[in-house]
Amino acid sequence: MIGAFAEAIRATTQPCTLLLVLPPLVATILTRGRWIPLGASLVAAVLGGWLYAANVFALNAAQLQASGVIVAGVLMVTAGAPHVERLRWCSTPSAQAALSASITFAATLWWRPCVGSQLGALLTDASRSVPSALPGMTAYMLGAMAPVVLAALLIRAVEPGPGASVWMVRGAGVVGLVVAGSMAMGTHDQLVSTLTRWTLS
Amino acid sequence: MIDGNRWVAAVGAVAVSAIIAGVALTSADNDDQPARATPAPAPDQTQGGDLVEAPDTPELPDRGLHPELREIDGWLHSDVTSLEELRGQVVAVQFWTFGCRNCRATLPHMQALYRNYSNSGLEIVGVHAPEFDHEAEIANIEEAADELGVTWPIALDPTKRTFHSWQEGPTGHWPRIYLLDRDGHIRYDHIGEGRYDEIDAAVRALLAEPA
Repeated sequence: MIGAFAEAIRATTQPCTLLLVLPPLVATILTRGRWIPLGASLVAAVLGGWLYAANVFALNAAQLQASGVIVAGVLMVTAGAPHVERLRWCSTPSAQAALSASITFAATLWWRPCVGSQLGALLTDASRSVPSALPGMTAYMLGAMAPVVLAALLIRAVEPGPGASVWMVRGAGVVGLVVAGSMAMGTHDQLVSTLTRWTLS
Repeated sequence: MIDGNRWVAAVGAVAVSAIIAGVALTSADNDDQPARATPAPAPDQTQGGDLVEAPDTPELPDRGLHPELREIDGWLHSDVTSLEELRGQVVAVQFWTFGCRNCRATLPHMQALYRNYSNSGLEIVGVHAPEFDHEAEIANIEEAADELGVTWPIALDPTKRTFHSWQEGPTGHWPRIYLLDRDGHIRYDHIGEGRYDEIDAAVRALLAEPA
């Protein structure tokens, strides 16, 4: 369990984990690190990890593009909710939790992991018996979400002022839209491929 | 004056940062270590020149004849064109792609396996299934194989038909190794890096089985 947790943390520095970590990170920043959306993201990440281990479902290329469009829309709603009267209801904790969870769950469907020794052992075990791999997958997914938790804690500790908050949200929104947009346009492979080649060279 | 919630968040942030930094530093230390090479069979694992099962041999259930290689676009380092031609040998089929960091990490072990057991009847077939477009170009595969020391036969699977037909479910994994017995039946598989001792033991056990 600890090994899986640690391997996942190490994987967050690799391009292969980018599509898993960036969307919930953006969602966490957009929701100002609030606990309920963060908790919902963590639950969604774990459930997505379980689904990945069960190996019963994967999006095809067209579905990946559609999911990118949906996530881009969800991100815009999340970012705009505090500022747009019609979207004000989306600023409630429960609505933010649902938005964050949906973004994170989509990210788990986009994820093509680095299969290191710990995750490899978990997936091998899961190919024989899914339930036996679930505790390890839980630890792995929580490890992968460590940067997201860190971002939430930093935001809460620092409590940036209104000016800094605006720039933080704008920056996160741009990153989120680039990621979701690359999914929507089907160019995410090029993004990850380029980053992978940089890190290998 | 900082309120209690901010203190808790700050302490939490420091703790999570420390965990991430600790793991990253441990990882950096490990990256400096060469991948462990598989030892040759210990003397007590042979009797009169015959390989016998090691005590840590994993279960090797017969999972039936291997699926066929589909839409293979050629072979490198080999005159072989099918797995059927390798009947009578124990075959390690590894799905890999040269741009995959985890695949690369397994190569020292694969090299050691090839070095230690190819004379005893082991053949390795690397099924190269590209993850990204540039990994599908043969010139890039040849260059990477030379650079990485992959000297065993490579079957080119640019459409990933073989990759997906061998791996059940909608998701396939790099790397993944299957061990076939002398009759071409799948007896062992493992996803990802690691479990090198177990793979060695399985190879020894399969080599020790009568032809």
